[in-house]
Amino acid sequence: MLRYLIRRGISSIAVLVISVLLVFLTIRILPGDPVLAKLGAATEVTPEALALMRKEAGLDRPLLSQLWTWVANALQGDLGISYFSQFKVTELVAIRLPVTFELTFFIILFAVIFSLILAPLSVRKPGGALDRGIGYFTSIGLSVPGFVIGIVLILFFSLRFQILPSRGFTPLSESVTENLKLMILPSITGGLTATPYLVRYLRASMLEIKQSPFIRTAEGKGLSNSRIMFRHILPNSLVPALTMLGLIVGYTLSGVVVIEYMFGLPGIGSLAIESAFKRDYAVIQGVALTIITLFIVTTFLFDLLCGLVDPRLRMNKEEKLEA
Amino acid sequence: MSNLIDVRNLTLTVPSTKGRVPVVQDLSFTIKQGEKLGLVGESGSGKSLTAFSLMRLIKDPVRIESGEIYINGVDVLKLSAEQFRKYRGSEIAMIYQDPMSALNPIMKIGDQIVESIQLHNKISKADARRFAIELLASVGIPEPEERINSYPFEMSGGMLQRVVIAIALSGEPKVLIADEATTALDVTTQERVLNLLNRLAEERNLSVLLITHDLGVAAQFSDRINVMYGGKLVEQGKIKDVFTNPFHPYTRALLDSRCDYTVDVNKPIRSIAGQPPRPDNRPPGCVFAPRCEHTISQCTSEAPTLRSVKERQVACIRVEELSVRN
Repeated sequence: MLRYLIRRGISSIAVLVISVLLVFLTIRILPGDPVLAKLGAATEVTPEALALMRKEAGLDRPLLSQLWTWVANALQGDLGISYFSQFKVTELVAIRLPVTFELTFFIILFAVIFSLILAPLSVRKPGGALDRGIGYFTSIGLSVPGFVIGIVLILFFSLRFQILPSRGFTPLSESVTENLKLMILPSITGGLTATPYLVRYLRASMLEIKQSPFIRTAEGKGLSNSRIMFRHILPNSLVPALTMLGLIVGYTLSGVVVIEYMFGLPGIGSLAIESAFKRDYAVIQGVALTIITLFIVTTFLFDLLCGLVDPRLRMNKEEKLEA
Repeated sequence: MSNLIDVRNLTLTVPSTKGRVPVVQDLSFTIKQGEKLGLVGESGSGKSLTAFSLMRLIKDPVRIESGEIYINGVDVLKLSAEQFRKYRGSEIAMIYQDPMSALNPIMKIGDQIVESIQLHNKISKADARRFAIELLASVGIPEPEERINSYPFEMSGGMLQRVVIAIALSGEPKVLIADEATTALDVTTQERVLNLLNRLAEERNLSVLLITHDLGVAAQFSDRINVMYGGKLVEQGKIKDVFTNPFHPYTRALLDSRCDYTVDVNKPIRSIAGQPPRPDNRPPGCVFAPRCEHTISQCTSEAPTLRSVKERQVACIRVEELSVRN
């Protein structure tokens, strides 16, 4: 197990370093910089003044030197300050993260609950009416982009029936009901996008398990169909599905950008968009670092979770990796 | 002694380009209480499908087309799936071909036995556990109190087959089907598992249907034997009679092609020329005719039916002349 953890740690750090480097370079290759963004439409600036402002921001220094300063500070937990608000990047991220976490939690909850209902229903009679119906639903869910689902939901629930708010955010600490109300539409939007992936994956995995000889053994015992489904087929299908779920959680954490922006939720996704428009280098880098770390940590946690479900992974991990 | 199992005119079909064709055709046999019946034949002869029919575990695309299966006097094919579920495990239980894949890989073997015990008896989990340990001990698993907490991947094939047997016995069935139960095991383990099955059958007065392609295993174990070829029964009789003097040319060819330590190593092993016919391509007359060395023109035109010959049933039109010549 220790050996496994070390290997996993090394590869994670490699991924982290490479992706941070890529982000650092690409935002600087893009046209424009924070100074130009701050000046906006004001074109009456002399080149001398521009150069001075860039010098103050430290943008005149060679790229490698900028990178070095950033890495050295980041290693000490200092991600720099926003060029615009002058807030510390760590603080900006810390304020925004809970919103993203909450939204991700609800989206995943939605997806997990519906997958655990739909996949077994689908597998009960493959090719039957119910299975085909669920198949159509997932096809639609996979092909319709999240923002379209969001817009449709807003049209119905906020504009037509006016039962749910479409934009804004109230912290949990202020009002729980207000907060939850604002979370409903974004969560459904994200959930409807994530559910089809999970349903399809779980269904395929369950169908495969259903063909296994040990399911025949279970049938031969005289067990009821529902017991076979939930005690034998489903638990055995969870291992591959959990890996998929880990990826989905990772993607959702980083991919709620659009949903947050559409529903005006001040999460890390909106922070990413705002700072990208303004070329607020330090903030973009901080957000990227956070999202990549979250992604690595969640997929790792879900791999550990697989070990909890499958004793073979739990007990054999070491031997297998050494072999 | 009454017939615990009575199969009458069972026909199973599969879809093919020519429509549904039979894989098992017009099969009838009985098993008495406490009797051990061997069912032999080569791959594709329909023996495993016969076993699964008895458990009603036939899955698409195979279908039970016609026939009756009486278990203890009840035609179980007429029962609803829900009604028949109560027969599984408590009247009739099965041991499967590959013990390595016959158990749930992520469930402790103890839980898999307890699950079955609790289904058939209304007892507490603690009592069911005690019963499971007893069962494990009776199938010859050492240190059953420890082993009950093992996962399948922690045990050998022979031990796993014992666990499968323990599960099969947990509902105290009257009939046990062993479908190639020793095929996946090595020879010494095979011997031990067979002896165990034999002992359990005696102790519990079980009726056993032993399905195997290994004539040696069948001979060692069963009282009577059914020989199947191409989905049909070709010979049926007491194991001793059939083995010492096979009537049907297929049974004889099967015995001649046997190879184990009892066979003279200097004699070449004879094989049966050709391949068994596919279900959608069976000849009109006797199914074995194309591979038989005694074929006459009548064989290819007229399908032989099972006839009683000296306490035996044989499906061969030339059985009298051939058995006399032998």
